[in-house]
Order: sequence, then structure tokens, then C-alpha cells
Amino acid sequence: MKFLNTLRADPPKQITDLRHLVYSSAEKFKDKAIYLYIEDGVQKEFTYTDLARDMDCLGTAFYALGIGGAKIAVIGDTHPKWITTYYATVNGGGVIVPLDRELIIESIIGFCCEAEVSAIVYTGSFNKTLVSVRDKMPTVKYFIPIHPDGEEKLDCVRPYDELLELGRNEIASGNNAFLSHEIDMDAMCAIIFTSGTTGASKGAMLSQHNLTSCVNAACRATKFDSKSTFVSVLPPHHTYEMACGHLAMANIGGTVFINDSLKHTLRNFQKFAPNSLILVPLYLETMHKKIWDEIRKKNLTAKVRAAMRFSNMLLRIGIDRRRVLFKSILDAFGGNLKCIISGGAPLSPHIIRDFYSFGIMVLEGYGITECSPLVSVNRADGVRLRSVGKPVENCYVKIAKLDDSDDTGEILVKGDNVMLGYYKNEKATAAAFTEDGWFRTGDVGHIDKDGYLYITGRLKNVIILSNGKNIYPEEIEEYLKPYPEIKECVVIGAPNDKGEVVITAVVYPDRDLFSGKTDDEILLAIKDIINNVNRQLPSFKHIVNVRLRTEEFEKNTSRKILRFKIKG
Amino acid sequence: MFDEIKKILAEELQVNEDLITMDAELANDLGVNSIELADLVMTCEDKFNIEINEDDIGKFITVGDIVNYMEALKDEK
Repeated sequence: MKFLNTLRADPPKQITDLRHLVYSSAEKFKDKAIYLYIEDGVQKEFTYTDLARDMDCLGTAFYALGIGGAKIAVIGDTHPKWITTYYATVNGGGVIVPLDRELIIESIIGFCCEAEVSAIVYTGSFNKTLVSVRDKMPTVKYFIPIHPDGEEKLDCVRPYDELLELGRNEIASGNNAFLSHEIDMDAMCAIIFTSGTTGASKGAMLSQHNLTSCVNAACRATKFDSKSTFVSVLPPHHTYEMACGHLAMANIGGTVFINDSLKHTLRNFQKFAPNSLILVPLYLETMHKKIWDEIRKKNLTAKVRAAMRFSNMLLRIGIDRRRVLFKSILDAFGGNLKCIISGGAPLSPHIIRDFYSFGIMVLEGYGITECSPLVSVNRADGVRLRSVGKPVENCYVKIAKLDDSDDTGEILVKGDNVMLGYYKNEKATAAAFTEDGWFRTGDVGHIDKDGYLYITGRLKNVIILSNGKNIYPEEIEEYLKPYPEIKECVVIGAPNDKGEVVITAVVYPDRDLFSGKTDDEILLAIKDIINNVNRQLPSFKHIVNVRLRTEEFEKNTSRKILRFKIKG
Repeated sequence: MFDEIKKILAEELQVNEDLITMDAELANDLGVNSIELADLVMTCEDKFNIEINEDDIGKFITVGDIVNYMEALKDEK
């Protein structure tokens, strides 16, 4: 599969650090919108010039408050001020700690304490919640609401816009602490917690060198340019969205429309008509299903299949009629969509093939937070199905064979993008690297003779859902353990009818408690328990499927369940 | 309310109406993922002229949860 036209309007800039990214883009793209977003029901614009100016003001205000170079957490909905906080922190010698807005409050407290953050910047949905637990976060000096309406009026609460004003005045009176700060490329500038619970999580430490390398590599590996328009749907605390979406897009001069709600996603695709998207498989699977549902509703399945065959035949001889033949399908996503980058979890090849037939190139890639995150991606001029492409520049991949019988083994990565280590966790850091300094991804795969990487499995228990979320099964199992009806339980990721990986509980019930009941009745009772558990969990951790076992799980000598024996 | 929600679900999800009961689980029985659920909620908002808090969507486990939520919202109005 190839793009027939792979020319781009302008080549990406090679940046030296993230401050250079902001300043060079402001100089080049000036008053062009980097962000379009909805606030209070009104569409607003945030330009490249706004970003550079606000970064300088906020970064200077941090110094004026005595938290320049400190650790700053940021949490909430995607907003230009969320992103500006990121730049103002990392470009002033500070450390950004992006947090998942779906975390429960105990985890937010835990992460803020673990990282010893000095301030938290947050959007409106966290008003009152965070300040109400300030006693549990003694290192946090300042609470910085982006939307201060309705927030408590306390000395420690310093609204974002007031800080911009403070920074502006400080710069006017000669404070150049932020402006003259020299970036240390090898110092930690971000701590990214790798899961949603404090106990199981590790904080990956990334440097400017790591992130800059990822931005340069992402921009060169894709064909995006200043005419690119995106809709940002993934949360920015994800390194994938932050580095490949926000940072790389800012470098190429694209315009990003911020999706204001999951509810509006598909409608916002129509409204904003992006030509490019960065997604996780769940979105592609849903879009694919919607397309075929509509086709079926109109009784056009056979006709569309025939048109796809005809169009694919024309493509082979260099004639591209896809945007005419499949106009109505493309119009459902605004009509301009040409390229989607998919990462975070595996995507079925038939979906990539169908999108290609309709005129949308899907480029599957592979990344991991610890690698900032981009490791490899399929390029537009040579897609290999089932592969996650070739490694990006300055990133090297090799396979540590599990045995000599085949070429499959653990994927090891070395390069400018590989993290410094885990924050305050020398043991985990040592375990994450080989003796000669290769990062162990915990993913299993192989590389073909042309250098394309294939992922075939995982060494760790973590479940990767179609939406890219990492789920640690032990955490969910803890919620099920208190129920006496469940004697043993293992949570796994298993494909549903549509091939999407969903959280599945495999349960060995205590049949003594169900004497006289049929398997269907037992399943119903277990499902009731699962529904109760789901109500206590954030939605992305909901158990979707349940399977009953008639025998207890196979265990090792220390009575630990042999998880790898459970089929997905 | 149930019949109206049932109609929307059958139309949007292309599933057999017989599967749509008050106890039917959205994810498990009807195969609804989080994006489809959010889109369904949007359709319900348009149809019933109400607004559903995005944070509440995660609490919808069964069809009955949606029906009860909608009825409560309608009563409030």
C-alpha cells in the first residue's frame, strides 16, 4: 500500500529543544491557529503567537512564585492552557507531571506526593475537589485553576490567568529568569506514571533530549505539514497524544481542533473535517463499524464491495477514484480525511485494508511511554500489514530471542528516545535495562528481513485495550476477591465478537454456595457481582465479559495461578 | 421511555430488538463500546432535548440504567 501523492507543502523543522519548537513555530506560523476549541459553548482560537507569549508569561510567573524549576502536575480536559503549562514547565527547568483525569482522587493524591509536586494546574472539573484534599498533599504550594469560576478563594489558589498577568508584569520589570533559563537536555523534564494506581505504577523520567528526538523523528516519519488539520480526541497525559499529537503538530504548523467531549467525537469529525487523525484502534474499529452499519442500512453492501474491488483494480494501474467513488463514506468524517496514525494497541488488518480502499491511509505504529513513546511506524510510502513499521530515526530495535528455535523474542530498544529511568525506583530501573543498556519493552515480537517490526505478545500481565489504555489485572482482581461466591478469579484481555480486546473476568465460582443452581443461574449471579464492581471502577476499567470455569486454575508450586495458561 | 430508547438502540447499533431488554448489558450483551455509547447518548440528548453529564456515561451498565436516568432527568424538567 502506498500513498499516490506523498509530496508535502513544507518539510518539518529540525528542533534543538522544546523551547526552540515553540519560538520557531511562532516565528514561522505567527497568527495561524494552533488550536481551535469550544469553551462556554463558543468556538475559540489560540494561535502560535499566543502559545509563545503565554508560555513566557506562565514560565516567568512560576519563577516569581518560587516554583521555577519545580515539579508541576497538570490534570483535566484538553485545553490550550493545559498544553501551555507543559511547555512553560519543561522549558523553565521544571518537571511536568501529567495526570490522567479519570484517576480516582486517592491516586491523584498518591502521585502528587510521590512526585513531590509544588503546584497543580487543572481545568474546571477539578475545582474544589483538589483544594479540599490539600492537607493530604503537603508539598503542593499552589493550586492553579484554568477555570476559576466556582473555585475556592484561598491564598494557595492562584488562577491561571492571574499568573499570566503576573508573568507579563514581571517580564516588563526585567525578570528574565525563565527567558534566560538554559535548558539541560539530559535532565529529567517529565514524570509519566505508567498506570492508574500508585502501588503498581512507575514514573518514567523523560528528558528534553528524549522528547525532542521523538518530535523530530515523528515529523520526519510522517507526511504531515502545515496544511494538516487534526481533531485531538486522546487525552494529553498520554505521551502518545502529547508527543506525536501536540508537540509534533506544533512543529509542523498544523491546526488542532480539540474535541470537547467524547459524546461529540463523531460529529466533530464531520464539523471540523480533519485531513489527519492520531487515534487508538477503538476509534478506528468504531468508525469502521459505523461505515458498514450505514451501508447495510441502505442495502448497499454488495454494491460497495464491488466498487471497492473496481477501485482497488484502478489503483494498481495508478488511477485513484476513491474520493469520488466513496465520497458519501468520507463525508461522514468531514470529507477531507486522508491519513490516520494508529497506535497504543494492535489493529485488525481488514480494517486497515477497508480504510485504504475508501481512500484513507492508516499507518500503524508502536510506542511505549518509556521510549517517549515512538519506536516504529509504517511510512506512507510502504505499509506492511500486521507490522508496526520500521524503527524511527535515532531509535534502534533488536530482539532478545526467547529460544533458538525461532526469531521471536523480547523487543529491546536503544536510542535518543529512551527514558532516563523510573523516578526514585532504582530496582525497577535496573530491571528495565539489559546489562549493555537496552531497554526491555516487555513486548514480544520479531523483525523481518526488510527491518519491519511485528508485535506478537507480551511478557507482562498488563492488558492493552483497543482504546490504548493499560489495565493492570491484579488491581481489578482485588475488587472481586471480597466476594465469597468467587473462589478464584483472573482478569485477562480477550477479544469480543468484534475482535476488540476487552476486560474479561475468568471466574471459578464457589459451587458449594450455589448448590442446586444451573450454570446459567451461577453466571447471572456472578454478573450481578461484576456489575456492582463496575460501578466502583472508572469506566475504562469496567469488566465487559465473564467466563465461568468448572475447574480451579492451574498453579505453580507456590500456589500462584499460571496466568499464561489462560487462553485469551 | 423504554420503547423509545429501544428504538434508538436498535437503529443505531443494528441489533435485533429482542435482545434489547431492561436488563441487557450494553457492553456484554449488545457489544457497545465507550465511543458508541457516547454517540448513543448524544442521539438521546437530541431526541429528548436533555443534556447528560459526560461523567455519568460510565455508570450506564444496562439498558435499564439509561432508561432510569432519562426518566429521572425528564421528571426533573
